[in-house]
Amino acid sequence: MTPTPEPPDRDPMLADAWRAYSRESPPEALDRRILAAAHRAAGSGPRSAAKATGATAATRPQRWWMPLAAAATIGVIAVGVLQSLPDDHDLLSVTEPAAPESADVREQAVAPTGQKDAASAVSGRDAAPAAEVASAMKKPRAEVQSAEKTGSGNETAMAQESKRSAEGVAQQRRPQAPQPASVPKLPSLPPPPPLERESAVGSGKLDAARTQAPVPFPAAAAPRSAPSASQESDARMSARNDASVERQQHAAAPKLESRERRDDSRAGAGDAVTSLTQKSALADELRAKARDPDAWIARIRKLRDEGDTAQALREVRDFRSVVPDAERRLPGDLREWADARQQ
Amino acid sequence: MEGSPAPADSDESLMLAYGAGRAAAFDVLYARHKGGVYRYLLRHCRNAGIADELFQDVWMNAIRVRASYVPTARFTTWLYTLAHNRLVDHWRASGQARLVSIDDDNDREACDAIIALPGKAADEPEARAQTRELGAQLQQALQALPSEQRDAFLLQYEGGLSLAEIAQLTGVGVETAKSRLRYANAKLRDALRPLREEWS
Repeated sequence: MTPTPEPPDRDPMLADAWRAYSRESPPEALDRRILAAAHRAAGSGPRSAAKATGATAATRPQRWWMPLAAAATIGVIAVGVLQSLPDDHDLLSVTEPAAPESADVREQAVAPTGQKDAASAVSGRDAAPAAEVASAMKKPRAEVQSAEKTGSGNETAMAQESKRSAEGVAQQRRPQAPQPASVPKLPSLPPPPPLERESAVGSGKLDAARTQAPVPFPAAAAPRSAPSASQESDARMSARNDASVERQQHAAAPKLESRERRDDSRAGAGDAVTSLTQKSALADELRAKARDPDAWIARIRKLRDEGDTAQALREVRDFRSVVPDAERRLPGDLREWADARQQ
Repeated sequence: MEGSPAPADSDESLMLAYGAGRAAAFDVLYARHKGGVYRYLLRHCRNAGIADELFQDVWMNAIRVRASYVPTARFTTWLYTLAHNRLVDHWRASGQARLVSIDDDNDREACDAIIALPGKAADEPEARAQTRELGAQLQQALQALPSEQRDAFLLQYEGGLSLAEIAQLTGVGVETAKSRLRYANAKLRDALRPLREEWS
């Protein structure tokens, strides 16, 4: 477009004369001023290439919602993390390392028996009970820490008690050597629903979910642990020395007793796993009771009046172990009655 | 967009490049057209100070509207349109419907100023004297032209515009522009003929 054709009617003689004559140019100062202004203008705001083609208008609607979408996404993630973090922090941190350990134990326990079918049948269910064991081990530590922070005496006692029992069971489980498990071939069971736990965690009802968690079917846990008879007896001894374990056994008594009758080894393995779950529930229960000592005393009195002496005595013992000023709170008649009965 | 623009780049691409923020493109454009635009304004207003002011306004306007520049026509046409419009504004502001009347050929001051402007340094004294005399004659004859004819002549000889472009720029038909240009050429040739005959 730039090349200028010579006008056809341009007079050559006049053009030569004009070229010889017309040679003026603007002053240099004016040149510098204009060029400086041009450079300033270009440096201040270069025009984008998209502007000339109208692409700006086409892309504008796509640009404005991107920051909003990003902010909304970040907000949703942040709320989700904040909701799940306080309740499930320890659970999440322990679940991952616990799973391989349980897998190893399962392989050691099942491989000698050659019951690969049973192993394959329960392989899908191992992660969830292992997570429960890990959470049960982890939870008492967290309880101790939280109780120490709050300075509450009864909660500290309960947490420490729960921690001791969990560690005892864990020690019982760790040195397990490969033992031929006398476990019959297992029927394939549906895997435990993991979403139930997640939803409980997400809604902040983890404690309720733990207390209401169904007792794992012993057959599912048997190939994984399969403790020896001496280890079972050790576990039971340590558990019976603990008052909370007694309560847990009492609560799970009907189921556990019937299973023990069927198969000692299966019941022992199930007992180990179940005890952890029950201890967790027991700790929650004791904590709930300790919050209202008067109601607890009324319940003990009621048990005594109904003739359930053993249960009433256990309640008195728990009361004394959990409530800091138990002796002052405990009515004289109950105290004397309990002392007399225990002697 | 990086680097200095090539000299062969068209005016239009240079202006687009400048609109996109490439300041070096403007330097090339300015070097190409500053003389023509300046002389166009100077021949019309015959005052170097006013010509400087108008010249600066024209280029500042080009800088200001760089972003909206669309190469629908030659850049030269667009640039001389800016110069022509600025000149018309100047005429209106100064109360002159026409800057120079047909009979106005007595502005010796402007003529002297133009003649006094430096020529080529290598010019011989005799040739320089002839050029001065030729320039004076041309200046005289140019000022004697009607402003429309002078405008058409300057647009063609300084801006290099075609007849169609001159017609478009001045808002007249091509035939009218052609007629104006023919009259202007004839008058200027007549004014220079005695000198030519004398020199030859």
